[in-house]
Amino acid sequence: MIDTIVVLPATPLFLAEYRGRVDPIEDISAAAQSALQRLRRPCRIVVVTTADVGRDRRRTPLGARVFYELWGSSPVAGVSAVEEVVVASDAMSEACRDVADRLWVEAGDATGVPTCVVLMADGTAARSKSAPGYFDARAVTVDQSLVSAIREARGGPLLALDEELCTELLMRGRAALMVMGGLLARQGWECELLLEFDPFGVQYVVAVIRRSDIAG
Amino acid sequence: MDLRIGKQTIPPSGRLVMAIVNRTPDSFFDSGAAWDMDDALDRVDQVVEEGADILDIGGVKAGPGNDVSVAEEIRRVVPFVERVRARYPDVAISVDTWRAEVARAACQAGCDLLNDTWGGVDPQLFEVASEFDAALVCAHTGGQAVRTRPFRVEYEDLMTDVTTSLRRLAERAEGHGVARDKIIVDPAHDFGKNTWHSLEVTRHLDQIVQLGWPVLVSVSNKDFIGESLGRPVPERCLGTLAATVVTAWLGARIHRVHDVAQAKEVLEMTSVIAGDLPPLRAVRGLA
Repeated sequence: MIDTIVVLPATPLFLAEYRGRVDPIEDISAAAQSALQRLRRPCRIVVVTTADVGRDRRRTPLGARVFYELWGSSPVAGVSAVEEVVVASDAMSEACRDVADRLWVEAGDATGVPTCVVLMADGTAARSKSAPGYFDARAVTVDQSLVSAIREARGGPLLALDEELCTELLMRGRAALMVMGGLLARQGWECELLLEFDPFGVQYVVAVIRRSDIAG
Repeated sequence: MDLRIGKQTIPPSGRLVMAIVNRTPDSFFDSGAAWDMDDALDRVDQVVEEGADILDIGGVKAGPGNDVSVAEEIRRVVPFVERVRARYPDVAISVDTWRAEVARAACQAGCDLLNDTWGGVDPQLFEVASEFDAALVCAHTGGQAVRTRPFRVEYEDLMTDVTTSLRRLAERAEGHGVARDKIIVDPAHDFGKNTWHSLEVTRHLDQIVQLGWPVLVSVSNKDFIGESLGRPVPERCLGTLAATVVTAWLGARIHRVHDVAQAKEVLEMTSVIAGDLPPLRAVRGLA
């Protein structure tokens, strides 16, 4: 049974290899750690990331590396296993829904231990003139829709994200978010939005979403 | 090798700024700006605020000028060292002197480092350093007499002369009981050297670094910079900073300077480029 979905930013600013003397995302780190600490124990974790884009891909996708960095700095006792699912960056809505269905079935088959799905994904990266994608007025609208869908735990808007537009707005976690859309569409959920923040023109979200039938 | 100065232990990757504080009425750069006790303390406050790691207090102008007796040098330096020690207990204090009597009084007042710019002309200085467990700078002057300018100095092989002389001085210091990790070597730009010589020791500083002792360089606003760029003393800051970066890159660990804030910044950048220090805040391309 999937009982919790956690949304975390996939920014490489979390990675030790890129760390300066000052942590530029202290608040975001704290929120991400807090989200992981809220996992129900015992559980198994499935980390869902979107495959990297660009020519300099590494063997482990960025989102997974970010997760392990966060996990390593503050491990949670009682987690029986961590598994990874990498979704193609160009996966369309239907394919993402299929991944969600498969996760749901596999979690149902996993006897006894509930599953937590950790989504490594961000919103657009075109929210200001200093953003990686410069300012694009459409970014605000897309992110508003994204954040409201997460806050209200509604899968429909996530599954309806426009792939082409998201690519233009450098939303790198779009496919993972669509997988989440597929999970949210299956039943009722309640969201605790811990952070929405765009300090560098990139939309970050930290949220913990629980099944409404067992939330509380 | 770590370097120990006073309460500080500095790893090989550390790049330190030694701030010049002249208690003289006639030094070439500041022309007596810190001659008055209060002015000198203001200068100390300023350079500490700017991040100086070591304060180098001198009571005698390096170049030719009025005679300064031992008693007068002590009068200029020692009470000031006491004041600075009380004001900044943790900042390393150096005294720029070649005289053992001055060094002894300075160490009793709290000095941590003896900066013997004139290359060991007073053999008792080694013993004072050993007795007080003070750090010691061994400098190459090519045999130049104290407080004189080079005149038609030539070397058959400058770098061999510099490295051989520095090794001999450092080993002599060790022989007198100065701790190995408290010995520093200095090629002494412009001391017993013309501009070509100072440029050569700058260019080949790595040969001095390879001796194994930490290297101090004192290039700040010196004539070899002025002659290289055609700049009078007040306009040598950029040239000084360029020489500071080059010597830091080649391995110098202590930089004796007038302009502390600027030197700190270029050394910080050098350390970041060298990979010895992470960038302060790296976000570009990573958000």
